[in-house]
Amino acid sequence: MHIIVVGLNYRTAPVEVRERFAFAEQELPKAIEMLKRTPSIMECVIVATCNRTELYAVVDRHVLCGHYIRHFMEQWFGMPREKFTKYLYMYEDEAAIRHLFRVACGLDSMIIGETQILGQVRDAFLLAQRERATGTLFNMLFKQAVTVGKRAHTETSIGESAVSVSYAAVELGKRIFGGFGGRTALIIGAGKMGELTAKHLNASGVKRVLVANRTYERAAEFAEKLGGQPLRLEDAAERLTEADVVISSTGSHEYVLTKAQVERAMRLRPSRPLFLIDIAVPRDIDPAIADIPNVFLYDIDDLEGIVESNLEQRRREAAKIETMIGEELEAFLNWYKTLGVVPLIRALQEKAARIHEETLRSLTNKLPDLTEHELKVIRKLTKSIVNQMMHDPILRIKEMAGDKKAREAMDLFVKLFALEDAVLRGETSARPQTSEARADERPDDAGTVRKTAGRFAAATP
Amino acid sequence: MYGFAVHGLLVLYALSLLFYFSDFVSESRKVKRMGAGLLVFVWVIQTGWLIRRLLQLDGPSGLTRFETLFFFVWLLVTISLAASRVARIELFVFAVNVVGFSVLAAVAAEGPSAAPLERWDAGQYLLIVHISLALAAYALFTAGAVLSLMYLLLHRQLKSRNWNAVVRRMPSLETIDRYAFGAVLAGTPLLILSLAVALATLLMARGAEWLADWKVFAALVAAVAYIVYIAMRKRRMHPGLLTARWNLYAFCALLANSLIGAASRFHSWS
Repeated sequence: MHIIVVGLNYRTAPVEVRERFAFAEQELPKAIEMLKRTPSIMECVIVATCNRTELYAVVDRHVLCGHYIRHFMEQWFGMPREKFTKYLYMYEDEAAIRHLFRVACGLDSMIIGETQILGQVRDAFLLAQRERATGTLFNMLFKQAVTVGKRAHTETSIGESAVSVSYAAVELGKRIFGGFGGRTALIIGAGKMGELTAKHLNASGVKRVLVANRTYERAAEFAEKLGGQPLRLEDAAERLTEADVVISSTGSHEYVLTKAQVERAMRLRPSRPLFLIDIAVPRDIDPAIADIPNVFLYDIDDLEGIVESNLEQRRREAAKIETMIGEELEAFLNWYKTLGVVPLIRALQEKAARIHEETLRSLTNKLPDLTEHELKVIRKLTKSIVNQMMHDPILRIKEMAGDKKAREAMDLFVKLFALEDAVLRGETSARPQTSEARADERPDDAGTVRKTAGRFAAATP
Repeated sequence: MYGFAVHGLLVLYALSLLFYFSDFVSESRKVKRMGAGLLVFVWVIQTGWLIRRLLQLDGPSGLTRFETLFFFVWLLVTISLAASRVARIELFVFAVNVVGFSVLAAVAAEGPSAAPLERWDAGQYLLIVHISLALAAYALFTAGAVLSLMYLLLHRQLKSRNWNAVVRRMPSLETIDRYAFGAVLAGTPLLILSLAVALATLLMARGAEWLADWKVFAALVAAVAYIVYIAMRKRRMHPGLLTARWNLYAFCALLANSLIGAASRFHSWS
């Protein structure tokens, strides 16, 4: 069996292509049902978000499965494969698992470390599980993906810092005030950036919003959206005593706030800090205002610098998460390797139980005068002998399932305990099939880049 | 508690601070948890030893400088652990415990000392009250001073528009200022009560003429400095930077008071 993922994302396809490969939420169950019925696909999950559409599948033959999945996409989206294959990527086995883990941790997202994707991966898995499209492999794999995603966010600070200018302004404000509850924001200029920052502040609990604009009607319109109070631009300086945060983004070529105005305001509220955000170009606020005690002035360059610093911090955290992913991948592969021995162990235990029962029956025939208590004791003791005899071989075969020569060990196990009949009867699952180890990246006939990995394929049962 | 035991405690204490510092330099929650765990362990050992010593002492006459300063360090560790439960404030925990570690190391290096309370006869029990209140006040003022230092550091970083790991991980200016004020607000009445008890003891055991002493003067200056800080902060007529600085000036007065023992006729404790 192999795990593959075929998909496209914001890196490989522009939005006008991605939108044609979007799954409507209500159609997903039907799509999963159809994918499940595709030849060679044993388990499947569809992860569909605004930035990616990915089809995960457990297949019995990887060679043709890419073709079958592309055929499914052709049929579902009604587009010939020649038109979209160039946007697709395909990962197999270990590379597919690693990709899933990276996606769940937000490392493959447009904003590295974003947390929304984890919920989307979880929801996609739960939907597939409800549609009975998952089995042993994906039940384990996706649960582990969600676990590693949670670990990434709890054990690192990858998702904590702001990576947009407007959020950076909010984060700065929190460093000064702690929270925005009970604070007053003064918005000067009703531009888009100002509006976005104001919305974030509003969402963070700002109690009162004053909006000043050259055109009073525009100020009123803007203020209504935020539940605030409109002002004329010339009145803004007078209301500085009430404001805790000022966001300025006008198109003015002169300073909207001068040092004298701010000094006058600060004399009336000396103990309350004033946070000024100037996102206009050219700047609205006199830079000399930064020298006034208890006034913190930031312009657009400062905010972008903060965003860049935070992104750098996220990249450093991402390196820690890659290590985590390596550990989880190893754990999954180790678990996967033991899958093949489970049927063998079960067969051995059933054989031992059969022998035990037959021996006890023979004993009761030969010694019919044994009391109930004596029989009970004999049964218990003989069972103990059987269990102790089997304990070490079972333990050893579990350990050897993780070795390079796992297949030879399992074959020997079958021979030693004469389990061939049980294997042939199908009481065991399919014997391990080897696949050649591949560790290189190469495009298939249709041009889709395929990434494979060695260890998983070599250990595939 | 000397020799191997106190050195063992110092090693554990140092290790916990090392983990905190390591977390601060290169953020790692696992490392921070290890530091916090070790610090809790240090607190448990300190608590156990204090209880044992309390039970061993036959009255206050056996109290030495080691016990009182050990108690002071225990208070600092307690305050830092309590603060860490309320907010993510690793720098504060680290800084307060650096002070604690320094005091413990200094007093451990000094070795066993005399029991000066023996000379105070009937006033011994009152002096226990005085010392306990004073130490509690000192611990709170130390915490307040560390917080004011943090305020100045963060203020400077924000004013210069430096965005770095220090700024990212500090609580807000408002929060730091509030906690600093809270610590001083709690410590000042303890200091005043401690001084009142000390004055009463002095009058009872020695007489009013002993009030003309450098130690008494320094203690009053420190108390007044903190009262001024509280007044400034309550009236909210000054920027936070100024009140933080004043808090540090008051702490300097307190430090001077604690070191002025040599100039005192009666306070040979410090």
